[in-house]
Amino acid sequence: MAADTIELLQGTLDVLILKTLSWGPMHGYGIARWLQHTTDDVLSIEEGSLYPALHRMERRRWIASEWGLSENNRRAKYYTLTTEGRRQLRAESSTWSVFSQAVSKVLTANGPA
Amino acid sequence: MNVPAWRRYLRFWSTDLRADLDDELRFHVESRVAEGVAAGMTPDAARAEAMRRFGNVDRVRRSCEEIDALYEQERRRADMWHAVLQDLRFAGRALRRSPGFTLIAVLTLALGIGANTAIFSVVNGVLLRPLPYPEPDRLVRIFTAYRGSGVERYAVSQPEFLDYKGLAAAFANAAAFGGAGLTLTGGCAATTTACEPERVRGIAATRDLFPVLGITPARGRNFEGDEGRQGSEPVVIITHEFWQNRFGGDPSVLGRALTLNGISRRVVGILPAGVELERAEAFIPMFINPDSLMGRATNYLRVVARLQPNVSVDQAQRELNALTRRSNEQYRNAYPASMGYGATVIAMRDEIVGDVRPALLILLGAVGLVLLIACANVANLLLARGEARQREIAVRLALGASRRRILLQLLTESTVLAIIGAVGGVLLAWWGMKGLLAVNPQAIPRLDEIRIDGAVGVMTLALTVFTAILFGLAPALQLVRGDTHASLKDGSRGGSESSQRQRFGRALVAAEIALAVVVVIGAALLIRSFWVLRNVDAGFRAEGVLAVDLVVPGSRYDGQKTAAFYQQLVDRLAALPGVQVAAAASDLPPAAGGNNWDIEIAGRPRPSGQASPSPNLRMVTRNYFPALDIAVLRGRDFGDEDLARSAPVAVINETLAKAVWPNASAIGQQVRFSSKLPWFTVVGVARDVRSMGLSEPPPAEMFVLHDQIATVAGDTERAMYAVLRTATDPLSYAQTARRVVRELDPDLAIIGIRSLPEMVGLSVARPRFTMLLLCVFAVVAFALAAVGVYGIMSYAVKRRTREIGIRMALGARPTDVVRLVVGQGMRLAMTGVVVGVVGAALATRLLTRLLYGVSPTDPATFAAIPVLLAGVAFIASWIPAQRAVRTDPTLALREE
Repeated sequence: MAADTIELLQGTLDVLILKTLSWGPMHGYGIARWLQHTTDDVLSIEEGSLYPALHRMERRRWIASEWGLSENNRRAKYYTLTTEGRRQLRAESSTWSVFSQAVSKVLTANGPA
Repeated sequence: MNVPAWRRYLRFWSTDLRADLDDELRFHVESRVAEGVAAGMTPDAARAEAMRRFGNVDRVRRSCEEIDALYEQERRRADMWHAVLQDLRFAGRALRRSPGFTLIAVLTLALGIGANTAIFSVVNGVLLRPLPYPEPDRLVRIFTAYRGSGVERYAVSQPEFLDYKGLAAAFANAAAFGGAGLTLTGGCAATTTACEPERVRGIAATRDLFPVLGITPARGRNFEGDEGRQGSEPVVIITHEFWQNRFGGDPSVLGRALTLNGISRRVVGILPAGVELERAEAFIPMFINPDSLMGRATNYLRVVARLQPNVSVDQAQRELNALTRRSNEQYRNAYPASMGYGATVIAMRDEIVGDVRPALLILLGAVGLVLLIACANVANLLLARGEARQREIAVRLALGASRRRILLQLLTESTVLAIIGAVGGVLLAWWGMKGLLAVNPQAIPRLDEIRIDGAVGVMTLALTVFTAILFGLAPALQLVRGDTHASLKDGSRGGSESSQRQRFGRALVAAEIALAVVVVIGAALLIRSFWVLRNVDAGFRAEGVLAVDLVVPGSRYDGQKTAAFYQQLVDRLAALPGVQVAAAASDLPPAAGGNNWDIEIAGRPRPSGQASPSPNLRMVTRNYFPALDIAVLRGRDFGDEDLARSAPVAVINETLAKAVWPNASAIGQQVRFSSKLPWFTVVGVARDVRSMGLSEPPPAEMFVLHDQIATVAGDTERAMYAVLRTATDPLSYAQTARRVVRELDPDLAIIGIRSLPEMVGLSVARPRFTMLLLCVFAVVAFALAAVGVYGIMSYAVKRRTREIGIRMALGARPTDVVRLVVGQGMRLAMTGVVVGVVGAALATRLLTRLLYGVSPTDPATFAAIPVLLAGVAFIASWIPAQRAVRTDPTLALREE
């Protein structure tokens, strides 16, 4: 993998996680499942890579963590979106929509005039 | 970084980051496995699938750990700051809760720190700050020395100056200069040529002066060529300050002609700001012609030199020693063996600062002691307060706070106290320094360079931290070390109070008294010394005498005219109503300069190779002795029969008479100064006068008549003091005297008009300055020690209220109780006093150089001060004792 691909993936993953957490507190496994479900398994994310991203975002105070009990009564670490994370999510999403619109414009254009 | 406080409690259940991470990752994988199994996979297949989806577990764990470690670090730092902030808030609250304690502690510390800041800024400005020249450490002054008669620093002659300047092994360059009194009479403004005569402090210097100092004029140029030589264009260079103050910084001054001493001199240069050489305002060139040098006995030059790089003052001194040894052999006639001709080199800064150093260091030591006393006082206050806080601390310890944490908390409190104290101290220092400068700016050289700057700031900060630890640590340790259980169990304060703490408090107070004894004895010695100095019999009476400092310009006055001018002036002054007698003299006590002349005595061959008697020659007019009320003991005073043209006569003082004619009468003897001059007959012997400083023994002096010198030598002294004696305030005659001078010569500048008592005061300005400051510190030390004793005794009494109540109820008489309490206080005081006296006996030796007429172990002082301090300790423990016996026993018993 080239360095710029990782960079892109990392940034993308962050937005996806933030978006997922915007629905409510969730543990890492839950986030993985939710992403898998929502994207119809199209994005094949290596599940392990979620965790460095989560820890990094926690350090940046975009998300906070707390230990709690899972659905099947096991000790699990839940992540919550912080105010700062919400702000980050808003900023990133608008960047994304501008970016994706621009990309689709290019891809649907009729060739140079 | 602002971490909410609750975050810190997360630490209670999430301490192991690594285990947490493992848990988190395992939960993920196992949830996945469970899901697979639920979907019908075998456990092994489900696990393999879960691991595949997860990816490289080790890599994930490693990167998570890295991130966590960083996060943890940040969090810890934030927590620390949070703790500090919390401590500060807590300290603030605690101090606000007891405003009385806080106020007293802050004031005490402000006094201690303020005194230190003030004195350190003086030491910094005067002793430590370098001179305002490049590489100031290489600047030195060179003097001739006549070790045969104990003279270490004397003026230099032209050939000697060239000898030194040529000593390339030691000096890169050297310049000679001499004082030149200048009177400005023209060129004050661009439009007018004449101006009100004004005295300008001048220096005549060789053209190397500014290169040696390492400065170049900010405008214009340095002296060049052989300026200063007879016939060259007269020029002058002025200082930045003179330019600003006298000419308002007018740029057209450069190139303008100023009339100085009747000679028109063009301003060729203006120096940069801050050049300070003997307070000179203008510099005129001096030319030393190597082809026609003056003799080796004509010493009138002062020499400043720049050392070669990497040559020390000691090395330069060795080179000079070798040089003067050669000179002694080469010029045997000029330097008789008994003269002990040599040369002295000293760093320029040491020369300027001179003998202020010991006084300042003594003061620095004294304020250090004051600070120690202040610390002891505050430590004691903290200790007493600590008893009240014992329970609070015990509870916190019991709840699991670490001792280290509480110690830090207590030290934070001390630091906050110290910082508030330091702020107060700096204000106090700033205000005190204004006071210092007002007391006497002339007492100490460079005093005007003093300010509170970075170095002083750093010093104060260091002092503050040091102080906080000094007074805070011991009481804090005492508190934290205390037995938690005991203080919790004890209902209130416990009857069996930790006697260890009390012992510590008493030791502090005893130490305070000891330190105070040292400072107060030192101050008392200086006061006595100053008293002796002011009451020394100086041999003349200064009261009622006005002195007018004058110089007539050589361009308009030859010897005859000079003598006539002063005679006329004296006659007119004497004729003023209310003036009893008037006279003039070339120099006045108590701060006359040296003016030694070798004399030859009639009938005694000049012994070769042996120094001849060399009294200070003073030129005076008739009535000089009555004007200063100096008794003529034998023979007669100068009288009207001694005319300018009659046979030359002299009056000598007792010291000279004793030195030259120990077994015979001096009256009628004949002396002369030079083979070119006639013999002078000694007609009288006057009383010794301490003319060169009240603390200096009277020098040998010889008085001759100003106008007779004009007659016999063809020239006479142009710089004279006119003096007049009145029955009233002499300064009320200042205006009249000025008018009389103007009437005689409107172009003459008056250098100064002062009363003689004022001149006497100025001559002892420095000892007075040191004494006053040390007195202030002694009073502070004294007051602090008294407060310390009072504090600990009232505290002790308060804690024993119950015991005293019981004693009283059981029939003890009030006197018994008072004796009990006071006895305890006095035992404390006695310990302190004894230690203090021993300390003072050791410390006052350092004062020896500052004392006059008092021994550093003066028995009276050493007896009186301890009694005084013991007396104060007595009162300080008697007051609380009285309060104790006055309490109603029933109330005392019910208390608590």
